[in-house]
Amino acid sequence: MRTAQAILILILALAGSAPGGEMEARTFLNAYCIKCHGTEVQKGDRRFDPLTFEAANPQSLETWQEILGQLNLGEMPPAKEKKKPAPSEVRAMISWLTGALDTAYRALDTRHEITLRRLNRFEYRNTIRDLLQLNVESFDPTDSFPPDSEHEGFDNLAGTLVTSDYLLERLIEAAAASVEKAVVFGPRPAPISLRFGPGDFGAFPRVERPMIAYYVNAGGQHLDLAHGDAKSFRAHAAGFAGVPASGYYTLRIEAAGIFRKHPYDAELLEVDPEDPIKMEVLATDPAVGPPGYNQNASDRVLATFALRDDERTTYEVRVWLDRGFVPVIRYANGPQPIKQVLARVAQKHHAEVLPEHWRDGATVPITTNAAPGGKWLSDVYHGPRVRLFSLAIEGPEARAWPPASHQAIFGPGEKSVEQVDVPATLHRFASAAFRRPVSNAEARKFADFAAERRQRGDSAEAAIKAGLKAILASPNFFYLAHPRSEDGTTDLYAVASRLSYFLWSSMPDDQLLEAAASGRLADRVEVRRQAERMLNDPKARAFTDHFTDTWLRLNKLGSMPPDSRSFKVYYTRNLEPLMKEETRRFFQHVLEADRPVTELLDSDYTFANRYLADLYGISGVAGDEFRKVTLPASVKRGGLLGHASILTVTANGVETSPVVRGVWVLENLLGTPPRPPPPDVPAIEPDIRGTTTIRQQLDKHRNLAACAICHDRIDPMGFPLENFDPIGRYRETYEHRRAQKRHPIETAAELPGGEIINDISELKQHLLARKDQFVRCLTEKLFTYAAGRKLGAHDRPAVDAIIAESKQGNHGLRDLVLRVAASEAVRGPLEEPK
Amino acid sequence: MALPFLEAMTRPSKAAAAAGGTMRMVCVGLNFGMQPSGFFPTTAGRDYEMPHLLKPMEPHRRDFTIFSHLDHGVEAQGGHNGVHAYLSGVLSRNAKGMPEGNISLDQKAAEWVGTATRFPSLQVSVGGDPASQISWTRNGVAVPPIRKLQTLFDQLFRDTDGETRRRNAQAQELNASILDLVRDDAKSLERRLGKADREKLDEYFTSVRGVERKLAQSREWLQQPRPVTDFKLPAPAPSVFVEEMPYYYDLVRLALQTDSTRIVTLVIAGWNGDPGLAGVNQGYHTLTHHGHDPARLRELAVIETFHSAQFARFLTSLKEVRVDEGATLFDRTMSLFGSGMGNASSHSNKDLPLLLAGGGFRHGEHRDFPKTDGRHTPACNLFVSMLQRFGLEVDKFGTGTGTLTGLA
Repeated sequence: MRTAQAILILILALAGSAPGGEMEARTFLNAYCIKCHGTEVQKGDRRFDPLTFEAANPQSLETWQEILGQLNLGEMPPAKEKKKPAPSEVRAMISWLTGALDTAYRALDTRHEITLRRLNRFEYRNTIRDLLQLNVESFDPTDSFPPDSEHEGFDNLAGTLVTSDYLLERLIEAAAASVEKAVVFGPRPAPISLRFGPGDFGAFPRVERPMIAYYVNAGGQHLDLAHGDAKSFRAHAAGFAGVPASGYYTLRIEAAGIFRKHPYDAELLEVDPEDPIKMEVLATDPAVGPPGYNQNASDRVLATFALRDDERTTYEVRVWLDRGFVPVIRYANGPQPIKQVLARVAQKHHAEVLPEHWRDGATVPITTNAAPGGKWLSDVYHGPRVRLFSLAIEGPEARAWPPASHQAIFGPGEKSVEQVDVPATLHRFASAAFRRPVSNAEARKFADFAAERRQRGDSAEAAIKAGLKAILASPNFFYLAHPRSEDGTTDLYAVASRLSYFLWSSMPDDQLLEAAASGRLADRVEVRRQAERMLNDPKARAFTDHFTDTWLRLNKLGSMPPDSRSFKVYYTRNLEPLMKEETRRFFQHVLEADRPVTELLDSDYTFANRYLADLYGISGVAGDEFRKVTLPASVKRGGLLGHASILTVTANGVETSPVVRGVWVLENLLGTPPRPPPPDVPAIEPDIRGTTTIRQQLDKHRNLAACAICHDRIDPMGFPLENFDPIGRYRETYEHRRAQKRHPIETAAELPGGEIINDISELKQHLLARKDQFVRCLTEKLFTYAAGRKLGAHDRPAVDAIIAESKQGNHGLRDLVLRVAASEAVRGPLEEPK
Repeated sequence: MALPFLEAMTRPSKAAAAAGGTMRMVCVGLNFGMQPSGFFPTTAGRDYEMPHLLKPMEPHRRDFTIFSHLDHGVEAQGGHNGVHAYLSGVLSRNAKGMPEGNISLDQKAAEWVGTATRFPSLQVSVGGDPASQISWTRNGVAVPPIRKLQTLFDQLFRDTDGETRRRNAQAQELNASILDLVRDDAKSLERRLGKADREKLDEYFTSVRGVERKLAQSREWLQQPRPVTDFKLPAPAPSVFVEEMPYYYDLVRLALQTDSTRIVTLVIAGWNGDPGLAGVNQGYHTLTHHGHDPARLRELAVIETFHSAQFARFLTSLKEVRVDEGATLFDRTMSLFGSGMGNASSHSNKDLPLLLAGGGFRHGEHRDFPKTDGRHTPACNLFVSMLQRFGLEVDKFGTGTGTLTGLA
């Protein structure tokens, strides 16, 4: 029925719109388009002749929309085409098509659409944090969940996220683990105050000869950590089994940086002598991996201290430690891999050391089983190191008991398990977990369940926990339902949830639920007011982090790790998190300051610390702290395309490809992803033996007509970025390990319309000139992320309205986000389609 | 296919398990393929010259087949993002349009094995990106692999003590009762949903049934002691790729030998840092982007020859195990060696390197399936043949249209 109605409306709309009607549109297509998009030829895989006006299905509308887009951009018919429509003809076609499409969109039925979506891993973890008031810095209940499926980078879309038996098993485990962690009956644990000296550190309290990687001095006053290998030894208090309870602890570490200025050639050690010696303190779970050696999945960096040279100083930090965790200490920026470094140092500087006492690069210097005579490398080595004197642990802090997580379930105050009103507790918890008031009948199921468990022999505590676990395993917790009920009413609690999962990736707070309860949330102004409040909350960092992770694919950083030999600095300076941090700060700044979204395309500033500034060739930025940095004109950065994060994620860790980067620009900035390559064209196989550069190879490719259609659009977006290597460093020639000469990089490329883009600056100018397209793309991405589903043709009017309104505010990012928050993306359609 | 599964749901029969007729399946998947010119023989038929990357396989020449020009077709191209379709023929993003989604060969076989063994299948992955997965269930979820030697060993041989077993049994009993409750809960949610969302929620109900089945299976196996072995992992466990690899294969062989499982997938995804291979100085991924540079190709050949040498050693070890009169574990195991990557240098997922040993097939040839009239032979046809040999009555799988011509 509905489809028939829509068809009728479209026919009427198409026929009735001035100044032309169906016949004029048909004539236009026949005259200017069909030659390349008809029965004979289908360039770009597009064919218009079967596009009858009766076919008011979404696919058909998409194609009409595409035609409209091309006409608006003036890209079609192509510039080189002789037979072109007069501007007045194009205007008429545009105006008519716009009206017709709008009417058709409004008539579309949306009921075929999947809107029920489950929480993804990120949201699940955050929700457990907020619902149970648990610290989740080390605790990840989702760590064994399978990866969430994605669509165009987004991992929060209703139709794409699947539930499997495997996931459900993990979900029940996660529910159990979370409840076990949150519920703590019994007395407050006695706090500890312990101090460990050098003799207590590590598995080797005494060695006959000092080990280079791990020194204990003869007198036993200190222990030296002389290497930066993440996978090797690290210092920990060997006799310490772990903290007795989860909570905040104070760590005091006495340490000094020694031999920062050393007698060796700096390049032998590959350690920057200008950099302070840095001590990294981590928390780790001995149940997951040995604390004194290697890394493991439970590791979490608590603090990094720049040590004072030669001066024994106490460094203090207050940290959260989960029960059973221990602190470990590393030399964060020490020489690595230590065995290769030592071999180089020994060969060059310590001829007096017997070769069998240092061996070659393949062996760690042997320090036990000492052979008589001769000097040991470890006796004479004067390389940089962290000198550790003591470690003190104090805590947990005498805060409220029972812990916040326990009180989140059972209410304030200490009571025994027998004093708990089980039905009331479970009712309250179910309402919190389901993000809406739960009826008595619904709650009773869980109370009955707990009572039944008790009858069957569970202890009182186990029975309550069973009820709590069942609530967390319920689909009412795990799924977000659509705001619009089957009967046509809007569920404001669902609106509250949609809003909070958009901006916080977590459950709504009390204020938001209250706005739902009072009915205020039905008002668009109130939704915006709430959204504004929520954006000001620290929890909104989840939006910046996760939206950039998925829109820009920053979560793929590290999936193609850069080659460790060619891009050593990526590892020695641990650039990956810094790259991500830059983009997040940049986005956050544009968001907070409500700067125009075009600043994402081009800006005269970025955010960097010293390491990142070094990578970019910017001087005068000292230290590890990020700050806003004004970009000198000589540095061609500014805007997302200058970010190392994006340049790295669009390379494969070995080499760059203008195609991959070009596609990234089209997909994520312009919203016009190219079609996949035709089936029978061989992929480019690089050949570095001759003189062929990627440009020559691609030129060959483009000579094939089938390839040219897309590559003419893709490659010009990618070539200007060839000036950046696989980790985003600026370069002007290609570097090949074995190639005799370096090939200069040509960045210029010609667009189908004849426009030439010479370099990144011109690329940015080109993108700025297509500002409307970028605004639309970003709006659609935001809308998709907020709605938690793929965008459909029927969303077009809502998106159009947001764009039009946002124009008044010069497309400020904050305003745009707020408009999306107050739109149908979150609230659902306001009325039934008519 | 419901019937064999239900049969399997009845008590696992020791006798049947020990019987030689039982078939096993091992699928080795390389992340970066094999350099094509070193893998595919230049001539078809029996008397081909052994390609240089397969030299270590020479002793088994009569017992395996090399297949050329098989792949998963144009829909399964995706470079590194196409490798995950190795055993399914279907990219995860294309799963929706397929009758069985993108279920992989091993999981299809595992559904059929059911509860007959402690593990319906085992997934193991060595090194590399945790996202490199080749085992997919019919609802499109990747089955996470075991990523540590010790974990694999413990799964196979380490019995939990009585107390832990009792606690596990209790937890399972609780989980089963939670499932009853949430199913009920889901039904009340269902009533409030629109049609499309009700269909989506169906996934949840299907999952509940799936978990119940698994719980039933582990309840049975929880009380059965694990097999005893005198095999020991070295202490400390090796952490260098070259040293680790043989132990992985040893444990795979033991898993089959003890009938702990009949299906294993082994992903070899690479390593971090030094692999311990003499003559290899650059990263694995870097070397696959060799650009035909002879020095890089030489280094890459060291790695890829190591892969085939380890596989050859594994086949030898299977041949040393007797399962019944006249048959060895080798005869009763289909061992597939290959990759979802055809040519890493061009990121092509066409012409996959594929090699099958054992399983009672007639071997000893290089079988070429060149395109005829623009039609290529789907690699899934090989999988149909394997599934049939495994015991399934199927004539289609993935993008496969039938069995592979001439493989018997």
